[in-house]
Parts: sequence; C-alpha cells; structure tokens
Amino acid sequence: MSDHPNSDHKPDRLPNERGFDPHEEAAYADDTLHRVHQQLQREKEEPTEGFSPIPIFLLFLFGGLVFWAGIYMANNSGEFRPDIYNPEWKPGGGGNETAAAWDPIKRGDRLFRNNCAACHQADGNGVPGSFPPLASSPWVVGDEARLVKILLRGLQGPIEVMGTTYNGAMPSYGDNSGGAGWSDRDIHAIATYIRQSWGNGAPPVSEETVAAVRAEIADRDKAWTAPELLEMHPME
Amino acid sequence: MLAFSWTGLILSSVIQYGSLQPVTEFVNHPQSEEQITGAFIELDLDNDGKKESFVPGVNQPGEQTFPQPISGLAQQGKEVYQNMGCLYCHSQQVRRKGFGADFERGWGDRQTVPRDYILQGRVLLGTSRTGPDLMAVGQRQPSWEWHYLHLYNPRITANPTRDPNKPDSIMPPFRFLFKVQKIGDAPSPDALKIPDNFPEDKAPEGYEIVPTDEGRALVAYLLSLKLNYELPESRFSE
Amino acid sequence: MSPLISFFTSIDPRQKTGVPLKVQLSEIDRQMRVPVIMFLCFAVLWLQIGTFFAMVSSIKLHNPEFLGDLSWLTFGRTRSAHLNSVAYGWANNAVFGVGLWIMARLCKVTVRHAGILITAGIFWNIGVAAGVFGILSGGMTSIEWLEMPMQVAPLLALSYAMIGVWGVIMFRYRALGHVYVSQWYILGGLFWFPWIYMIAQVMILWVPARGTVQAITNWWFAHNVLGLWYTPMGLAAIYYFLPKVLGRPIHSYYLSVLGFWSLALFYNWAGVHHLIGGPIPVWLISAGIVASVMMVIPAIVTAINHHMTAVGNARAVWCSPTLRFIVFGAMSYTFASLFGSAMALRDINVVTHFSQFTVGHAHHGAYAFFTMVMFGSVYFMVPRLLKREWPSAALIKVHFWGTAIGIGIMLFALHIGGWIQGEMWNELKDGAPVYSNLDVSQALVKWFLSRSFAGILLTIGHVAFLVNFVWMLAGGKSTRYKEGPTLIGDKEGSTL
Repeated sequence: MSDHPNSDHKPDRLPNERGFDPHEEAAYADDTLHRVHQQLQREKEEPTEGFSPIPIFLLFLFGGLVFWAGIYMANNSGEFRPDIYNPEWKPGGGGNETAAAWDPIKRGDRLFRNNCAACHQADGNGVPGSFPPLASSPWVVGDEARLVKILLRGLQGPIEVMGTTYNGAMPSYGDNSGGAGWSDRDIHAIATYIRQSWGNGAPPVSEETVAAVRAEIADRDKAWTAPELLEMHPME
Repeated sequence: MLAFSWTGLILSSVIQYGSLQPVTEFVNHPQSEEQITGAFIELDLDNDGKKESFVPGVNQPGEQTFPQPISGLAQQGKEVYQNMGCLYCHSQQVRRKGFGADFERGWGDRQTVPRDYILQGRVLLGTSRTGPDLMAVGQRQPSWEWHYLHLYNPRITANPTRDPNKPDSIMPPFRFLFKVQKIGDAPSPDALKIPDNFPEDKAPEGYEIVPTDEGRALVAYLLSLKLNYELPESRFSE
Repeated sequence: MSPLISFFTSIDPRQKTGVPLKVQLSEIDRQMRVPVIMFLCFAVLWLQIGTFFAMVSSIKLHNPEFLGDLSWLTFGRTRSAHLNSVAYGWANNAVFGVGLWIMARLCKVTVRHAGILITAGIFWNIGVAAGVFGILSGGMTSIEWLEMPMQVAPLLALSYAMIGVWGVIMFRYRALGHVYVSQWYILGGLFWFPWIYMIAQVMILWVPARGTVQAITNWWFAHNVLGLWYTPMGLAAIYYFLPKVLGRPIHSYYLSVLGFWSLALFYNWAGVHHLIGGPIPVWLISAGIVASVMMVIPAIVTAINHHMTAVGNARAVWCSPTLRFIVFGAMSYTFASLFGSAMALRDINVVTHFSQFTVGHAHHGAYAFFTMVMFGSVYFMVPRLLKREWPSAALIKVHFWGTAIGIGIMLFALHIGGWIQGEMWNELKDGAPVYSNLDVSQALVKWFLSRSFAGILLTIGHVAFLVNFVWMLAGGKSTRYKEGPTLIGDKEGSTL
C-alpha cells in the first residue's frame, strides 16, 4: 500500500522507541498531558526484553530430549504402517499375544461376570420378583439340552423356578441376527460354569452337545416359552 | 507449523486408512491361526475398479463382510445417544489385552481398530470412563428388559436389594425416555416390570410405564453395539 | 481517491506522529474503551453462566437424582453447556478483549471502525448463546469441544473473522521497531484459531471424514484450541503484564524466541495422546507422545523467563491484584505443561486415560493457568479503560482466595481421585478385575463431593468478581473519586 498517505513518514518518532522516555513529559505542554488519566500516569514503562543468554544446561537437556524422541519413534512406530496397533510389534512377529490354554471354567467366569451377573447377580440368586436364580435351579442343573436351548434362543413369558413365578424375557445368546451370537465354545463354557458354581454339582456340557442342539433347532427363530420346553424336556 | 501437523496427522491418516473397506469374517476359519497381524491384502479381483479385502487362503471375496451397518431404528437411537451426551461417561473403544483391563472386564474380546468404525457416520470413541465401555454392550447385556429398567432408574439394576453395604450406581436416570400410560386391553409387552423393592418407581394401579420412541430407539442402538467378529488385523484374545 | 483506497485509508489506525507515548496510550485506551469493555462484560456474564452449569453437573455426579427428570439438564448436556459457555463465552470474549487491547498498546495503534468490531462481537455472543441453547435442547453433536450444533458454526466463524482481523490490521500498521513477544503470541493465535476451527468443523461435521480420522481431527482441534489459542493468549498477557507492573524488562529475549517457536512446533502434534490405546495406527500415537514430551521445552523455557523476571519482587507481586493472579497463572502453566507431558507417556496414560485425572488436567490448564491470567489482566485494564478505580479491595481478595483455594482443592480431588479410579479400573488378580464397575464409580463419590465443595468456593470468587465489576461499571462515588490504585496488600509505592 505504497499509495497510502501516511506511509511516507514514520508513524512514531519517539526519542526512545522501546519505552517510555522520562524526559518527554517536560517537552510537552501541560494541556497535552492533562488528557492522560491518572491510572496511566502512574503506569510503568511499556515492557521490554533483556538479553540474558540461554543457560547451557537447557541445551543439554533439549539435546537429550531430541535423542530420546528419535529412539522412541524408532522403537514404537510400527514401521509407520496403518495396520499396526501394538507398540511392541516387531517386523516378522513379536508383540503378538501367546494363546493361553482353554479352560471353560475360567472363560465361563469371565462371561458370567460380564454378561449374566447384572440380572442373575454374582451369587447366582437373581432378584426376587424380576430375575430368577441360577443357584440350585433345576432349569440349570437339570437336562442339559433344555439349558442349551434357553441359552441359544432365550426365553419369553412366565416361568416357575423353585416355587416362584417370574415373568420376564431372557435374551438369546446364540442367534446371530437377533441375539449375541456366541460360539459353541462360549455356550459350552457358560453352561458348564453355571452348572458347577454356587454349589451346583451338575456335569459339564460339551461343545459337541451345544453344536448338536444348535443344529437341531436351526429353524427356530424366536424365544422359547417355559411350557414349550417342559413339553420337550419334562422336569426331572 | 499447523499445516505440517495437519498434513502429518490428518491427511496422512486419510491417505493411509481413509479408504478401508469391510472384510469377510475370520471367526469360522481356524486355519487363520497362522496369519500374522496385518496380513490382509486388497486386490481388484473382478476388475470392477473396486478393491476387495481378503486374506489369501482364509476367506473369499463375496462372503458376508464386517463391520456391518446398524439398522434404521438403531441409527435413530444413536442420535439420542449423541444428544444426551452418553459419550461423556461411556467410551466406545477397547484397548489391547495387557494395556489396561478392558479385555478382562469383558468390554471386548479384542482391540478395536480403525476398520471397526468405518461404517459409522459419526465416531463416538469417547475419552471418559466414569461408567463402563459400551463398544460391545449389545453382546454383554443383550436384554432389552434390563436396559429399560437401567435407563429408567439405574439404582434398580445396580443394587436390586437396596443393600446399603453394596455399591450403587451414579448414573443419572433417564425417566424422560419413558411415559406412564393407562393400561389398554392388555398390558404392553415392553411395559417395565419394576421390582417390589422400588415401590416409588411403580406406576399407579391401572397404569403402566412404557418407553417412548426415543427410549426404544436408544435401546435398539445399545443392543446393536457388538464386537463379535474378527478382523485380519485384530483377532480375539484368549 | 477511489473508494477502495479511501477504505484502506479509513482503517489505517496509526496515530499522528510526534505525540508522547503516554498520550498515545491514553488515546488508545479511549478508543478501545467501548469494544473492550463490551467483550469483558460478555466474558464476565458467560463466566457466571458457565459456573452455574458447572455446579449443576458437579452435583449430578455424586447425586444423580438431582434435577434428574429434566431432559434439558441431564448430565451430558449440562457439562457440555458448561464447557461451551466457558470456552466460547468466557474464554474467547476475554481473549478478544485482552488480546486486542494488548495488541493495540504494543502496536501503538487503535481500531478504527470500532462499530464493525462491536457488531461482530455481538453476533459472536448471539452465536454462542444459540449454540448453548442448541446443546440443551437436543442438538448436541457429542464431539468434544465442538458440541454446538453445526448450524451456528458459520455465524461464529464469520463473527470471528470480523473480530480477529482487527488484530491483524493493527499488527500490519504497527509502530516501527522491535516486535515484542506478546505480539508474536497474539498474532499467531489469531491465525491458528480460525484454521483449526474451520478444519475441524468441515472434516467432522460438514463433510465427515471416514472412521477414526474424525477422532484424530477432533483431538487435533481440541488440544490445539487450548495450546494454540488460549495458551498463547494467556502467555501474551503474562509477557505483557509481568514486566509492565514490575517495571523491569523480561529476563531474556532468546528464551522468549525459543519458547514461542518450540510451542508452535510441538504443540500442534500433541493432541493424539488423547487416543493412546485407541483405534488408530500406533505410529500416530507415538508421534503424539513424542511431541507431548517435547512440550517440556517451552514449559521450562517460559518458566525460567517468567521466574527470572519476577524474582525478588515477591512483595510487589503479592500487593498487586494483577500480578497475584498472573503469577498464580504462570506457575500453573509450568505445572500443567509438565503434568501434560508426563500424562502422555504410555505407562502413566494407561492409568490416567478415561479417568477424572484428565478432567483435572483440563481445569489445570484452562482455569488455574488461563482463567487466572485473564482475571489478572482484567484487574489491570478496566481502571485504565474506565478511568476509575476498583471499588473494593476486599472483594478482590475474596475473588483471589475463593478461586485459588477452590481450584487447588478441585485439582487435588480430581488428580488423586482420578488416579485411584484409573488404578481400580485396571487392577487385576488372577486375570479377573478386582473391582466391579460399581465399585469404581462408588469410590469416586467422595472425590466428586470435594469437587462440588471446591465449586462452591469458585462460585463465591466469581460472584465477588461480578459484584466488583458491575459496581465499577455503575461508577459509584467510591470508584470515580478514589485516589490511587486498589491494592490487596500494603506496600508503599506499589502500582496496579
């Protein structure tokens, strides 16, 4: 903006560019300074900067940080690949978890805590009036096919458990479209777990049994009702 | 400066994985044990200009792919989830086994990776866990009945016996997602069954508590949150 | 002259030449009076609104039935209303007022066409009000730091452009000579904020990026809005007021340069540390961690520079309301930055991530540093702009002690409580979690209660500030004819 009317002279011709000149007040008439309010009168000069050198230890510290940064990136960048999510990954394997031995009780414990305990409670006693108990329930320790069917497709409507009637809806854990879509192995683990916890002493349910029941009820697409199940598998 | 980081962090991400596609599932392919993380490849097999993602020898192009989009009702529920701000206490991401206890808490059987989120219009990772993670809540807690009770009054499901020695929930109630209505010819199938321990939450005689459309949609969304498939770059941990 | 040239002539804010400095400053204060006081009024108002939402949210965390039947005031909405009121209402208005005023003084120029600035300021606040209303009424986006419905973004962006441009114009027509460090920070911030805001709006809301790229953009924005907008403005204010009130130069120009450029270089990469362990490639996370750790450099450099400037003047710092707040803020900046670097390390992050520790850290930076500095700045500026004195030293003391003790308790509660929370989430025994979900949230209640108590102290401080501010605006006798500055300690010859 060279055509600016002000640009050919400096906008500010103070004797001391960087700050307040203590002599300047004397150079101006009183009526000019009168316009300066008292809050401004007592102000100190506008801020300026000193030029102390940077302490040498800081430079060493920063050098060290930069060195650490290089090492860290080299070790934790997963070769800048978009499909590496574990910082311990090394080219050609490593950083992968080793598979632990399969233990249905351990797996069942985790599944139960995270999926069932909210309703049936950690002690397996359920909630009176809302959610039936699992501990010593004949539905759990009885016929294994009946139990697996409930797990796979859920249960709807009134059900009598140890003298009390509950009216709720147990969701499906097996049906992949409407339910949680658990594998045969997980159904085997959870069934085994609930049959052997809280003093329940029923034998385990094998993975093969689950697979057989799943195949048998493949056409079934809705939850069971208690009378239906009792017709197929009468209570012992 | 800022342009550097924008290029480095965001543009490079868009280029590196902005075009990820759903892949076929891994879960029924036991031979995939040999596959190492990140072994998927993308090739245009049928020359239609679109690349298919698959792992050689494990799955075939054309199989059902994952992740899957959520249904329309669940999509409406996601809007409710967003405008209620659920994200400020509940994350939707699972960290790898060994880094935190996400796996042991049952929040997901594997680490979540970018491909899990590619079909979500808005990504709701969240950065706060005042409550548990919800990445797989539809799998962990598939009972809509439980969800309705829990949203209506979290104290009902947290401490059903009202035992003062047991920890209680600090989640706010969402009673405004429910309405009290007169029972018609027959009780509604999704009317809440409030336990006897909570008499003050029960509807008056002849009335019932049912979820509003928003409440139904929200529960449909929660039930749709599942992490029940494997991806080539992230497999279930044992 | 063509209309274009006459327009450029009319915005040339340079003053007549050959006028003594204090007369120039007096003219600047006079011309900046209306816009700056307007921004400060809005800021103080939003601070009260934000405090109200903060208290409601805080109580809800330990008492979930509190206002539990109102969908407008459910926790997710009130905490977002709190964040957006204090971030875009309080903090941005304070930045506009303080930043533009410092810029005007250091450039020795002023704003012509203050009407445009004032109009833009009013529209900014209409936008923020509409946004907060949108959050409460169900339009929340659930994107952290960008909760306002996307429809208000164009209004905010346009208003910002018409506000921020005046800072750039003033810098363009600055008085010749040395460019002071505060000017770098303000100019940098004025360019950085619109850039991150628009990119984030476009890539998350208007034309959403796919998948977790949204999350990266989100944290790139949310971290930079603190680091490249509030932080530079807060540092600019410290760099201006510390030497100004003490009457000594800043310790070292070289440290200022190093501090500024290392902040500009590293901060904008650091936001990814909010996604450690999350679903993005590991190299991005590692890059974010490295940048976060490198933030030690600007933190230490700035700390040394400020400390060496203030050292030996403890009494003056104690007596001046401005310096007491500003030095509190400067010290918090150092600690908050070092905490932030430590929190980015994977071994620490695995505990603190997702916990209240992060919430505590956000308040450490945004309140204990930034807000306290803004309070100090307001105590210096308003007497000059209004040519009056603060009516009550007692209220300033209440303000300082309420906020200082309040934020102290709050940081303690959230850091300790958050650490315990993180450890409880993670603790395993034989491959099974030791604490249930409910155990963890129950353990937080006592820390949430302490936070609400701290919130009451903060509220008392803010109300004292409001009363003093309104009293001064109303201009009773005690403010107009008062002789000498309102100090909060007795020291001969102290200034404010």
